[in-house]
Amino acid sequence: MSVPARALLLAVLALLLLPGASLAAPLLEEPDAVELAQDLADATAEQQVCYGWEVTVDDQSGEGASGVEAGSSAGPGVPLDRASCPKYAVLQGGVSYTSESSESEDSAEIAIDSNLARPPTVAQIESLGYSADDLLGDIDDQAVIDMTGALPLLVAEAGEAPYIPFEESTEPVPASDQPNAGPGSDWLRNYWWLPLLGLAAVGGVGYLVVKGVMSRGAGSSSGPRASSGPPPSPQPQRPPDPQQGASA
Amino acid sequence: MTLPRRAKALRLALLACLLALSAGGCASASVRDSVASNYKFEREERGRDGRSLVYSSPRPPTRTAAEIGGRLSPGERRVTQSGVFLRYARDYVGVVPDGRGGSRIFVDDERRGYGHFYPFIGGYWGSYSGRGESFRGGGPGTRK
Repeated sequence: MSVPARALLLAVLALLLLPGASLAAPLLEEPDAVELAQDLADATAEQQVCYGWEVTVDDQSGEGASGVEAGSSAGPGVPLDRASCPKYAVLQGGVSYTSESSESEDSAEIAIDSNLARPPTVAQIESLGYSADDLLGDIDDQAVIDMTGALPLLVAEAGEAPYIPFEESTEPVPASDQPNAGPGSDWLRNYWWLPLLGLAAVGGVGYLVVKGVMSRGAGSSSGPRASSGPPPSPQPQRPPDPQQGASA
Repeated sequence: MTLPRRAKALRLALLACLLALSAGGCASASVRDSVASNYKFEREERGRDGRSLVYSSPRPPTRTAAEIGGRLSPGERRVTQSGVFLRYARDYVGVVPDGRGGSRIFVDDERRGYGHFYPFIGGYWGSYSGRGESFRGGGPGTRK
């Protein structure tokens, strides 16, 4: 079974078997879930396409709860009612945390469930820099928000609905709101291997130079001792082969 | 190691040294340069907090953003229904639909970018006091 199909099956099964199961420690904090659902509702109003997210967590580690976290353009915590939507696209995720005794690793999958003729694809999501593994990391909440938030944009790009125009902020940013510390050097992020290559090259040159100096020193110190000994005896010359001379 | 072999190794190491130094010098980490050399410059927009350089791409926003991020990896990124936003050390890049199937690319410095893209990046790349609204639902006239 393919990975998207497994994620889809996992999510559907969880929704059927655990209709009221919500996560004790949700991936999205409530304000984030409200904002995402509102953005999706706005997109639905503009595009006549319903959107949602459904993430199934199977936690065998004992540290958290298993369950389904869902939301949609109908509201946070409200799974998308596909029967009431002529067109829809839903991000589905499956996260599996294994127990410490288990040999298998934690794993995550994503899929997109849609009835559109040209639905968004996981490959498109991945081209934007996100992957299923982000659901296991520190930015699992932002991954859910961004991967779901990308759906209306991808639907518009496929020609299935109009674009939602970018509206520039016209009001000044409140004085209390400031950007946080930047992400660090762009050069180091992209070319981190260059300093390592440089160091390796410099180290290699240094090693060869030191080795050359040491061997030259050893060579010069052994020179006089060799010359002080008896001269090498000349090699006895081999007499010509009489047979060779006969055949010539 | 014999002398000719050692000389060859020394030459190779020196070559690697030169290569690393020249690559380090040539490797540009400026998203401004990267965008300027790959997309058509349209105009300069001046706002309250500074200026944006605006470029155009014939390709849609997600593809254009993937191209930009592929050439120079951003430190942070946001994907929203209205566009893709990339954060670099000193610059913010917003890739949004142009309404004709292509993209408009904004290249802002940090001060201008935070205000310009505030509804999309506020709370992610800095503090944000605009949250806390309750869910209003969809329907006509509900756009923010």
